[in-house]
Amino acid sequence: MTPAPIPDDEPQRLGALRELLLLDTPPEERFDRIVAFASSEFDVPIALVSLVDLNRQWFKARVGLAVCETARDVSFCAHAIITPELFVIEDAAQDVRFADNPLVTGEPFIRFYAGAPLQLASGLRVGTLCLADTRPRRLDRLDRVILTSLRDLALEELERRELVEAEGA
Amino acid sequence: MDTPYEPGLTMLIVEPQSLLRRTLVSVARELRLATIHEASSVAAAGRMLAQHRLDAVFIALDEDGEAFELLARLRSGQSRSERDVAVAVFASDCSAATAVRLKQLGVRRMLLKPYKIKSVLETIAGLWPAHSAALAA
Repeated sequence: MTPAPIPDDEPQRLGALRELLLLDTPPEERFDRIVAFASSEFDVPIALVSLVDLNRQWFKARVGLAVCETARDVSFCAHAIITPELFVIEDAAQDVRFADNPLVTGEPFIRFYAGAPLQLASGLRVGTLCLADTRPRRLDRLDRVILTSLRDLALEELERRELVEAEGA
Repeated sequence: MDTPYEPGLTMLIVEPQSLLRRTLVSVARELRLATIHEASSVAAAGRMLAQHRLDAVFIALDEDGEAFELLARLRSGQSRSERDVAVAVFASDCSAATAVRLKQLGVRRMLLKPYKIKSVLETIAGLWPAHSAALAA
């Protein structure tokens, strides 16, 4: 297993993440609806709004996972936030970075992963809207556009909250 | 709200469910599939019919039957669009009576809810293959 590299802008990224004031907050319908929609649209058992914190990834919204966080060193999303593009692993069992990852070899037995980075207006990537499945999959071009559009809506919700706070300041 | 992009097709999407509508519009925008007008209610759609010449209307059927009334107005020429403008509907269910009524109104496709965005795109590709190069996977 290959843990994700730490982004060059990690201190700023963590600062931006914490300023969102979302970590460890209760579920919110506006995010829950997006992951439910994504799970249904793509027929995947797992869909998440995942925020990558210092030593963990924490799920603001989740479908298909009982836990609200996992360790960062086993996180697929920690890899996904390294670049702004979609991060897709079609079959984790065939990928040397993930084949022996405990999320692949054990519950929830992830084989397929697709993460769309949540990149704030500042350029800092705080997490992902992601999909996971227990079987290998591929995303075609339309799938990628749909996932990107859903990610943009999730990002709007993150930034709408930021705007409200800025207006109230 | 308007999304002026691809000049080929102009379509109106009437869908009260915000996430569905916004995702659909966002995807169509990304694919530069058409100029999209969107409405969250039949009343808002009625105003848009008076303002825009459309090639297609995608409309969610409502319990009050207002969508049927809107389609009847469309077919009787009470809009800026052609009477035979292509119409597809989103429906929660479809009885035999509803199917007959949709047929009478010249509805060309029906998508049962919960529909997928990809299904809508495939419907568009089926109705306008000449304008659907952007949908090629």
